[in-house]
Amino acid sequence: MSSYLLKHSSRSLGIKTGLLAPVALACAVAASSSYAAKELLAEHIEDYSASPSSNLPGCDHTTDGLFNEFGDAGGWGRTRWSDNNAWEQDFKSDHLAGGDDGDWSDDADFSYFCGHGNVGLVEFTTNNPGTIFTSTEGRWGDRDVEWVTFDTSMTFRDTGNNVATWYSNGLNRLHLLIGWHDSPLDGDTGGQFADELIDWGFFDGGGDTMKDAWFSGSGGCTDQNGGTTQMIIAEVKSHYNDHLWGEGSVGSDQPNNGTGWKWSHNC
Amino acid sequence: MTYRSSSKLRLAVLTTIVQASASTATLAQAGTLPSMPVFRTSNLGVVTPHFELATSLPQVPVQLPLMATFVSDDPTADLRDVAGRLGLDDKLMRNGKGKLATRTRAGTDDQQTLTGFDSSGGFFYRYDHRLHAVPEEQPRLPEAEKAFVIATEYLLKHGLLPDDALAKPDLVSFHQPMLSEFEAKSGRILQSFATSIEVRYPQQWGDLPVTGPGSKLYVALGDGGDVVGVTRMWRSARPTNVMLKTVPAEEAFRQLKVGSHLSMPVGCATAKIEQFQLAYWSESPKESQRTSLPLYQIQGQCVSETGEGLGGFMGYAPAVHAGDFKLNDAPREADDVDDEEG
Repeated sequence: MSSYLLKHSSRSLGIKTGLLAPVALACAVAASSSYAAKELLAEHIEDYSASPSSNLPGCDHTTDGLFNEFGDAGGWGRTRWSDNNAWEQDFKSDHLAGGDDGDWSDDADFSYFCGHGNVGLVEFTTNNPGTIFTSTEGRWGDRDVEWVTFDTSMTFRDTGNNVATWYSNGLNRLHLLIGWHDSPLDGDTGGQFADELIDWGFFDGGGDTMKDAWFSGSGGCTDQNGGTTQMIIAEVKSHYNDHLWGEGSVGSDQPNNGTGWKWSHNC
Repeated sequence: MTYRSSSKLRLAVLTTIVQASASTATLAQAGTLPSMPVFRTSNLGVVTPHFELATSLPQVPVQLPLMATFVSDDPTADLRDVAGRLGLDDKLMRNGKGKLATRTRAGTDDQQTLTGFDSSGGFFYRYDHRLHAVPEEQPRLPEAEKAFVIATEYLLKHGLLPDDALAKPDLVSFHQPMLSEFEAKSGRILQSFATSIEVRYPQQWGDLPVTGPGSKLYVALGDGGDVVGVTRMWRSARPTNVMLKTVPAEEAFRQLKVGSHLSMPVGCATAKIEQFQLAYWSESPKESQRTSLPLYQIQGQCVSETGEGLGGFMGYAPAVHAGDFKLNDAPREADDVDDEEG
């Protein structure tokens, strides 16, 4: 357990989210002790000033919204990394050199990243271990995670091969891989998604299934143009009916059987 | 259509701008180009493609008016009204995050939810277990022509069709969400379901189309042609006396090569521009918006060096010198109290 503290103590010194650093460290420790706890990993990059890509203030805002919504729900251990502290290694399979998903994105139940993407890739800003995360480098579910969201442009563009590659490599008992075929505007996507996922003890319009919350006109689509295409990749069809833990039913883990599902929807 | 005109309207703009006559029109300060919407698209490894124009550039007037956008005086009351029209309980719960919601027949197969935004009155209504239901077999969906008739009659019956929606069969568009099973090794599609058919209504202010997250109206039809969802994120607008000097389309096209407002798939060698049009911008339904500017909206298809199709690209370019006005100019405290009878 101490390895978590040592490994990430340098990252915590540079964390931009200030007050969230202790939360991140506390949750990292908690996450290592049990899979039974409900865990969120939320990462975003706003500052792309060292890249040819533009800055994304909307990612900062929407990841705040998502993080806070899970906090309001109660019972969630939450880890948050931002900008230079959001690393590729957190999503890259620990079966590959430099990957550490087993301690981060695959150690949570719900993992979320907001930043830049392109067809088959996600852009990070530091070499930990690299700046480009690709469709062959994810392998989730062998540890814990059920749902991974990349709130990034075109990462899951349906060119045929691209979605199949994400599926073949990424879904290893993962339930859903959630994101975009098209390019989202830098708006409030994750926060609205989470708002529709979570119903706080009394009816407030939340408690949707994953796909309903992502496809919702008052959820993942709120800040998007009509016609912007979303994509959700699944192992089995029934996983599209998954709720967030504590909000309703969740399907059982399923091994990768070589045939997957994809659901496209226009905002 | 009486839905909006029956309400007291609040212009989210300075009274002086709206009430001044055209003869006292003012020209916004030239030289300032507004910021454009940003996509979450990585430009790493993206090189400027060769642009091919597959459409003509639009003829653009020397000046265009700044639009004053407006919504109902009381969006919350209007959302209650919508709930009543749709047969839902009009006691809307406020979630403290700018949304209101109500639900009926909870726990049954007919459960319905209405969620709205108190900034704009935009709403999303659905049959919770029928919109995006996971199908076992292909739902029986109506053909496009029939879908248009069903959707339009539904909107009219419930008083939900705005005046500035273009509700004509040749102007609406149709979309079918697709759920497909595929074999990963070959990429072969094993089975596929169109899970609904959506009728989408465009919006127009003056002679120009409207784009942005605040301009969405569509009706989703499910099995048997039943209406299973309505999305209406909408605000209206009227021209102000403030005129904005336009950027010629040829100049905007030249500026595209800078590429800063484009979302381009990596590997795009040739970008074939299929649409290059002026449109007014309507901001997110969760935001208040005071004024709207026109911009150029560009869309097309990308092809790799080897001729492989890479899918669509899109982008925006400034269409006017906007002075102090911004694309998403929200009201200031003192500005949003100007009532006017509709």
